[in-house]
Amino acid sequence: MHITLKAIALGVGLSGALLASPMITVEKPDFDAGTIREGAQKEVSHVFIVKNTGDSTLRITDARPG
Amino acid sequence: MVGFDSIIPPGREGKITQKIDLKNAHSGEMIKAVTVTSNAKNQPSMRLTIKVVIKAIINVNTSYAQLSKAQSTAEVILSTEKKDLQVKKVYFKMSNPGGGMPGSQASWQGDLPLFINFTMQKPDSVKADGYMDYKLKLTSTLEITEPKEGEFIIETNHPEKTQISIRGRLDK
Repeated sequence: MHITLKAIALGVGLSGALLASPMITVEKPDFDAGTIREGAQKEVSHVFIVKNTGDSTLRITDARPG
Repeated sequence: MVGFDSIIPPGREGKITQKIDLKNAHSGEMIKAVTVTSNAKNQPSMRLTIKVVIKAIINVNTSYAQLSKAQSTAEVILSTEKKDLQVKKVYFKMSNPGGGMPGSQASWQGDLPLFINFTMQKPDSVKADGYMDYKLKLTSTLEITEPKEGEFIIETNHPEKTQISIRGRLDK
């Protein structure tokens, strides 16, 4: 009985570690910068907020235009 | 240009910054995307976009114009919100004056602007978007001995857009 409980605990622990995974969530992945008059601005920039909704570290390896 | 936070702990937020250069942007809608690659289980590759609409100060209906003996006039429509648009002068600038021989007499002559005669018809109505069409008619009285590639430079009285250039050709 005791051994079985231990085995179950170990199993839960292992599966928990195996299932732990990072999740990426961006509330507004498409940003509309509106209308800009020609020559009025040299550039337009936007900061996207990225949330890790998972349960282990999210590692962003690359973010590039395209 | 894209900047990003590379490590985001569980439950925390990070930033991805995208910058779009507008210096050479054409008028109209522009959508720029960023592809984000991560170890995320749900979306290892994610696309983010920025949409921007560039509103032209003066829209030109053509990107190319040609004048020759056979086709001695060319019509260009300039659209703008400005009520009293005027064209001050129009000239042709050769892209390769003097055939690439710097200092030669031909090159020196090539630096001189070739003035183009023009008339402009005022708009009779305002369009739904607030723009008005000005019809500019170019006429060449120049004696062209050799075809010339280059651009037509249109100088206007618009304080935000004093010069418009259209690629073009002067032909025999």
